[in-house]
Amino acid sequence: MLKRFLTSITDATNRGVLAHLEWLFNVTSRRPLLVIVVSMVLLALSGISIATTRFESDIFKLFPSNQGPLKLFLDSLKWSGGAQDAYFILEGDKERLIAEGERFAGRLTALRVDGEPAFRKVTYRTFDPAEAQPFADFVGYAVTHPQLFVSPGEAGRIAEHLTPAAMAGSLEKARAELASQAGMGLRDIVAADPFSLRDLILPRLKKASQALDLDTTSPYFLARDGRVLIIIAEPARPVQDMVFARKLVAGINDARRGATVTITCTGAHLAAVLDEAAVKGNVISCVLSSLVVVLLLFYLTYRRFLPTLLIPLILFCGVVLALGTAGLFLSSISLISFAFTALIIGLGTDYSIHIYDRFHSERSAGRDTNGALRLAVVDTGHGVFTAAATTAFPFLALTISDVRALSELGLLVGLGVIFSLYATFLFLPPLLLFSERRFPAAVYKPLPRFGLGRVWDGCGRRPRPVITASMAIIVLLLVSAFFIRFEGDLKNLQPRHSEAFQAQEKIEQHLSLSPKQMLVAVEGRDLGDVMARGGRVEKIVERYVQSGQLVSFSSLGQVVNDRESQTEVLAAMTGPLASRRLAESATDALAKAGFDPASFEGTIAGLACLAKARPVPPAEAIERIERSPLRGVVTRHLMQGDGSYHLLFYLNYRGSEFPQQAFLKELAAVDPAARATSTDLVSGQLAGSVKKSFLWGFLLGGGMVLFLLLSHFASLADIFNSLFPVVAGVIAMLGLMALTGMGINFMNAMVLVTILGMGSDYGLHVVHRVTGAAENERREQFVQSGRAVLLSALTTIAGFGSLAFTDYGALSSIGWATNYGVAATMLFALLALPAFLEAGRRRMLRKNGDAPA
Amino acid sequence: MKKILILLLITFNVTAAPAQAVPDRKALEGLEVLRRGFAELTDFTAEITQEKHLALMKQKMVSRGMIRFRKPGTFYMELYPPHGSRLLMQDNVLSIRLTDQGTIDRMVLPPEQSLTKWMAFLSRPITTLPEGMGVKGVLQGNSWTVHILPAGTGGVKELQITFDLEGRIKRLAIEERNRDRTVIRFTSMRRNVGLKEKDFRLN
Repeated sequence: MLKRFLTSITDATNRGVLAHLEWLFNVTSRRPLLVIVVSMVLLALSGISIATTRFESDIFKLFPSNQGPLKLFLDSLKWSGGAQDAYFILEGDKERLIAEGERFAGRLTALRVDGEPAFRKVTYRTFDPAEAQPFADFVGYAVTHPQLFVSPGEAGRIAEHLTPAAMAGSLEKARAELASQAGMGLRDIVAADPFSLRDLILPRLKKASQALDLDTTSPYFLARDGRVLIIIAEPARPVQDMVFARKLVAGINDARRGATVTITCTGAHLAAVLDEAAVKGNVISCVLSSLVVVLLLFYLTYRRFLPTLLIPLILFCGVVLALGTAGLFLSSISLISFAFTALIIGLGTDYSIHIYDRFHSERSAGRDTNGALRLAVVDTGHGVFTAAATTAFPFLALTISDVRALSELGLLVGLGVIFSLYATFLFLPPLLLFSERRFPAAVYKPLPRFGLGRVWDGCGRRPRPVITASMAIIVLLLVSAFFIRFEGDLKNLQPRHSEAFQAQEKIEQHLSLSPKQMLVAVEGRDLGDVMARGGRVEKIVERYVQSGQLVSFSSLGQVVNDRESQTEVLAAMTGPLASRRLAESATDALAKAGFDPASFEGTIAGLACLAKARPVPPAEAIERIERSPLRGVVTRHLMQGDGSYHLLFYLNYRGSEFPQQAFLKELAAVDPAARATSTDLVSGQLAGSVKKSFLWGFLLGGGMVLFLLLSHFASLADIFNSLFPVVAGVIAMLGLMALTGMGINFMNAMVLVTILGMGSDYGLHVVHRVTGAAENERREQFVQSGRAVLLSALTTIAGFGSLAFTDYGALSSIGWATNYGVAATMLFALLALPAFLEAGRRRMLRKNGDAPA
Repeated sequence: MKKILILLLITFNVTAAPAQAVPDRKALEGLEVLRRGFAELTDFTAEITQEKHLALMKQKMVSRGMIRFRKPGTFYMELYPPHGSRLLMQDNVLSIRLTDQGTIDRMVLPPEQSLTKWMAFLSRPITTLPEGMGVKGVLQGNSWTVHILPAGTGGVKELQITFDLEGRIKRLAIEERNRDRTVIRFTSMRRNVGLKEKDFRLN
């Protein structure tokens, strides 16, 4: 029943494909002008589609960012405006760094784009002397509202600071400060806080404001080792405005020209513009180098000028039609996806090779032009058609991926393969006919055999040892494949020599508080509620810090107490102060120390109220901090966006000693709406997406390949033989990756799917030609198809190989993985498959009662 | 902040800032005398008496102490107890230690305020007066007094520096906009005494 069903599918498919190929042959050989006109119209339509497509340089949009840790990460960049900012890393001698930093900051401030200032704000100092008064005002507020700012654990020290003896000691210090040369700057602070209560408040604020590990004694954003300085600049216009961003980058490049220290620039969006030229250069060099290698291979093998020249046209059509069609489905296409062009060069040439090889071989064997072309288009074309479908469908199956990097590449390569195939079928026959008419005396010399005849003979004589050796190699590589590791670190996918990447590395190396950081967000519309929920989260986090699982953390709760913590502080503070007459004590102490109490009226009045203090809404404290030079504490930890407050916690950790999943569980228990993100969580999310995409892609792509092979071949033995090289190739690819220290990452995982389609072609072509031939023609058919397979593999390697040498870890890993897979599949198809075919033939003969030859 | 330094820096800034349209001859002359006095020394040391009139205090604060300076950019100032403190500025790195409390504060000033930079200006003759501040020079007997009045809304209203015909500073006065006032008198000034590294220690 099943066999009958499969046979009917096979027959129907084969009849359909053959009829389609016959029609293509007839149309292209009889009405070439019509073919050219229709093609031109399609190309023009594609051009219009491409012209209306937006090309995206934002790398974040390559990944699924509508949920999970990546969404929070991108949200936080959006709320803070951090994605817009430009970060300048100055690196060099400590002596030169500050002077150069000042000079460069001045240039950035003066930089103009289209006559307008290029940057809204350039920040390079931690303290602006003009803000001394607002700082003193804040200190005055904070020391008279200690319940808001003093840590509950230190609340007892408030009363200790306000004993007569402690007051006298503080005033002695104040006198020494005022007498010293720092006195002028400290006068307003002493007036606001003569009893040094700020010692209980400011260290806490300072700690919370530290996003980076900076030299706290320097007024600049200077690393502790003094070798790196950071300048942060806020561009005047959104850097997604590419015209502005390009001019801005040109201005930045001018500003840093002649600097005596190294200045690198980064920023979430600006990085794309900074690296734009490098990306374009990378993609263009990939495309050109692979094109040159492919054309050379073709020309050196076939020594025909016109077919060689036709290949770029076929590839151009494949690329333009693919982009034009993709533009109908996608609102924008990533610039990085242009790397697909290199893959089309590798894959799209295969069809010209197979069809031309057959035509050339038939002509050199003496067949007439029409007969040779018909065999090439219809007979070889049948195999080519199935092979292209087995290549295209697994790529197209990747479009189900929610990782845009994969789905976009899958769509473009899948379409590119199909259009290259049709461009070959449509343009090659008319060109060959034209060539025959134009150069009737052309001689078709026998083509190089690349030793394939000897390989066939060797396998034919001793199939068993070849099969045994092949199986042994496969088993060894299979064992090695089990040791392959998964690389979850996104850094490895970035361009190593990119300026933005290197700047990030420098920040990490010189300025990061800990190797890793997790961001936790507690969100809501009511600030009081958000702060209260934040307080509960804070308790969990503190426990992790105390147990050593976290290095440290920073949050607004470390600076501003919620109502619960304020109650704790008040309980510890008001008891001891209740029996004291603070106003009188303070006035006495000031008078005794030679101060004029009248100058401290506000502070004395504030202290008098401490014994009866009540909780204060945290919003009031936040508003006060925002008005002071310490506003960075608030802007870093409390953001507003989408009509909500977002309270952020920064958790610093080293690595695996922080049990993230256990923490997330606890977090969900105290606040189910809280969100978290970290590089580990983002990697995990992407790994999950890729895994899902891979699984579905594998099932869909593998299913399609299997279906196409089932409908192409009549026997299971043929299907096994055609699949053997690719299965062995995949095992070899994984084994070789493990042996050479490569891991599977988010990008090269797709090769596991696409190699099925690309690699199954090789077995398919050989099996199609050899099993379809008479006994005495099998050797010649193997040589012909093997030569085409060899050239196809080499052109594919040329296409992907160019990727292997790009600076982008993502593309490079795809290039290497594919090259391993394609090379191994080709070797198994050419060196081992003949042995399997021979063994199969002998088995059949034995089954039929004939003795093997 | 750091009154002595501010005085020194603003004084030196006079030599570096853009020129006024009509220069005050006396001011130029006085500044040139001061400049020459600095140009000819490699180091100096002096005893000081500081008087501070602060709105926060009922009475003026009087401190005694000493200062040391060595080219190209090391400055030390010590106030003796009570209310003792030590200040050390090496180029643009400033450290202050409160003697009794034992606390040390350290900060790095912007490079335009580094001593080395200002000393470099003293190598050039002063021919013009700066914009952005008023400068007056008065010669009385053997003493010059230069009045520097910074424009704008900064803390310092006026600086007065009094020195002899050889550019030896005798008195500094700083008047702030909030009416706080500091006067420092220099005595026993000795120049080119060969100060060593050990003379510039906070501890």
